[in-house]
Amino acid sequence: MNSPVLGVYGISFSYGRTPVLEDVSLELERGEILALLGPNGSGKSTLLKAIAGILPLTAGVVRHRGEDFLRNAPQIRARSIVYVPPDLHAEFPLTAREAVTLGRSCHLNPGTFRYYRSSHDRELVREAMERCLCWGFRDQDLHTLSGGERQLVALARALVQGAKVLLLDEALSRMDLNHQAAMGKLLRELTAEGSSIVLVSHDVNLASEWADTGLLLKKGQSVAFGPIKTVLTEENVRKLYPGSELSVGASPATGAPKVFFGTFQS
Amino acid sequence: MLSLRTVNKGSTEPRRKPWAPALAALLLLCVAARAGAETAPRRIVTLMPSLGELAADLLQTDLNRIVGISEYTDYPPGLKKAASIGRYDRFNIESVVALKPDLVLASQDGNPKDPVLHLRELGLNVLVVRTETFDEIKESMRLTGTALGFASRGAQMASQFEQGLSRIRDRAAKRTGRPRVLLQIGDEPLVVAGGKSFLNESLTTIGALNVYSDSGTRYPKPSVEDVIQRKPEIILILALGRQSGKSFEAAVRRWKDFQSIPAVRNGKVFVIEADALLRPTLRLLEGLSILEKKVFDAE
Amino acid sequence: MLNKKALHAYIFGLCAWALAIILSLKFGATTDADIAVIVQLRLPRVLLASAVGIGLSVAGASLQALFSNPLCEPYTLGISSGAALGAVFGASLGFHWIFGGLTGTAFAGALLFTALLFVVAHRPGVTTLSLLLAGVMLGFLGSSLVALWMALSDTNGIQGALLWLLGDLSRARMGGALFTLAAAFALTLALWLRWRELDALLMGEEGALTLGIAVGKVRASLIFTIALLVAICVSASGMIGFIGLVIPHFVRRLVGSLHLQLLPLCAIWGAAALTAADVTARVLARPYDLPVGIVTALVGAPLFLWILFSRREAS
Repeated sequence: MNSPVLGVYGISFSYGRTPVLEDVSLELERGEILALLGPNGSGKSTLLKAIAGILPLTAGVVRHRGEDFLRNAPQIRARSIVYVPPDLHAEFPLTAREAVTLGRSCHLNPGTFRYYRSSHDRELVREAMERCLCWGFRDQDLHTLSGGERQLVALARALVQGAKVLLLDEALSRMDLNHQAAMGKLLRELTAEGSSIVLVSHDVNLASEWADTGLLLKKGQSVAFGPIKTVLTEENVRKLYPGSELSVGASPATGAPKVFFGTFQS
Repeated sequence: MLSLRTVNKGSTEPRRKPWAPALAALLLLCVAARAGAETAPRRIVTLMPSLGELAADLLQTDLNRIVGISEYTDYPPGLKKAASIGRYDRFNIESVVALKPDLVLASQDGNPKDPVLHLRELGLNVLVVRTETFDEIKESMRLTGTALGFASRGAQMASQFEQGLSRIRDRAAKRTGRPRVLLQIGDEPLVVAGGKSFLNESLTTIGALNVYSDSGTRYPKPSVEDVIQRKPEIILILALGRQSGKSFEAAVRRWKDFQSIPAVRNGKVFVIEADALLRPTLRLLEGLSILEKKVFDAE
Repeated sequence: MLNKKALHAYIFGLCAWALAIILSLKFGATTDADIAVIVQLRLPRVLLASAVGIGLSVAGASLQALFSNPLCEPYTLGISSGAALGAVFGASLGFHWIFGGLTGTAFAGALLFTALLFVVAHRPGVTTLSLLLAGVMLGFLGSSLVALWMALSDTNGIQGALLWLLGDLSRARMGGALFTLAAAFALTLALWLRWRELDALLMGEEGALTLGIAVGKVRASLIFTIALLVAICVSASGMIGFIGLVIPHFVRRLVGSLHLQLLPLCAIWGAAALTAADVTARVLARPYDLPVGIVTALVGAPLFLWILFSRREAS
């Protein structure tokens, strides 16, 4: 049996003395979208950053294609797994296109004097931005863009970076509905092309729309892991958000599991 | 003065035999005289007001040989026509070089070291004198005299200085008391003459005692409490020429609050004209006698 | 990647620099100066002004990227206080020669502080922010020690050293100026070769990590190179302000923040600016030499404000 593209086993992380993640594990197969769900403070962002190597692990191992991922240098890591932050922020003037071009960094060898090794690379940036619907404002400064527009730019940069495993940290949350729909579709296209995605979302329904599998986290601990329809049940939802009136049902349009306010009248 | 050219012309005349030795002697004399004149500098720049004064005193008449002076060189008045090269502590190197001097006079106590060295590196002839003690002042008079081509005048000035000093020292030896004096040179912050300044030497020469003679620095900045502890009998505030009289009245008034100081109690806080005291030249003798009068006639 | 904007910036920058050099050689404290004066006094000064202009603006740009902080400038990390401390120490030992003893001790002081920073930067768990604060504190410590030394000692020699520490190009000599120029070039090149890392750092510490930069290691070695550059500049000419702060912002307004263009253009415009400031300082108050830091401040501050407010209008 093939090993999963991404295997995370027994991850623990603490900020100083405060434990944030305790013994969390997950597996991501090639071409899969995993929804990482949970309430505020459950450690979702921290888990993504720990996997990408941005935060140091206290315990556990991350395997990419079976190998110990965190042993590698950051430049090598960035070519395989890319963490997409909730917002792009630069203290200095940077256009959208420049920000996207930065994604080429990890592919450059020392001694090069250009971001683009060939016109092919330039095309790559253009394609990525067009796919992510941000080519239209490519020469605008980042800080003049809205939050949603910046998220489109962040996605484009991740595409340019070329990593096949994408860790999206609330990366669609601020987009307009039409963009969210479009990006969701893009994510499915990417998986068809061989990428694998972990999607963190505070908005459960956003993530569950496109996810194949799900991991529910509460207070740094795994509550459930498995196919999304198995994992996103009313029982689990009540475990995550105790005392609330929430029900789970299938989307009339796509059949994806959705959370609704209130209880069903049956 | 005969120039070499006229002598040469004379020597090419056909009737040589009887004139040759005389002409040769005359030639030698002229060359010697010219060489002598050539070593005496004709373009002098002084980097301190006191050096301007010193050079002027030694040159006596040829004052226009001094082509550059530092700011505030005001004595003798004839010097004011020379070009200014800036303040003594921040003189302009380019101005000095542009004047093409063949002698530059600098002082180790006042001129910043690096720019003076820079002048030397640029190939200028720089004489650096020290004027921290009376002996050094005497030596500076001799050295400057020699550099200017008036060695005898320099030596004469030095001995005049020494004689003046001995007269003062004799007078001091005849007196019995040694009054304790505070010599104040700055107000807010309070700056006084310490053990290493030549102001200190001035006080000891006239037979007084500087209450800060034990200080290792030249111009310490003591607190008023410290002054009270040392109980000076006379406080002398030095007035520098350009400052207004009002600031000194204020300084005198500030002492009135401290009646525990003997000088204040007995009304012996005075302002004295300091220019002569602060120039390490012959005028220092004038300054010393002013100091003497103030300290001893006041008693 | 030489687009139109960058091309214009290069052309104007080089012209400005050339013009500043010509004016600097032609004008000075005296009129009708002859060749000797020009070559012996003004040329070294021009070379030193260019060298320090290059060094300070490149160091400033790199520091701003490294700490992702628009207010960073070459003196933020306290290197200059180390140089000041070294200079004061050297002055009290009797050193007085710039490019000799005094520059040597100033440089040693700056290196000491650089080493301290480097050690701090290497400690695990040090964030960029705490590194920045450590540098600022080091700066305060250095200045306080200098003030203490001044208060306790006899002023004459130290006053001389301190006048220079306020920024003084008048002590330039040919040998020292050429050395400083060569060093500034070399270190600028070293920083320029790391354009990729500096660009990634524009996105912040975390952002740079996601782009594949080993932030910890990179930070430490960048700080060392930048500190060396600042140490050389300060040891040669004292602390001249505003060049390192304003020139990078100015150039970013022209060509953006990517360092492949930013660093060389900062070098060119920095050299032009400081050379122009120097000739202004000399000519404005003839025959006195105004400290060049006054001119850079008087021009730099309004310019900075203009950059700040025009940026706001654009958004």
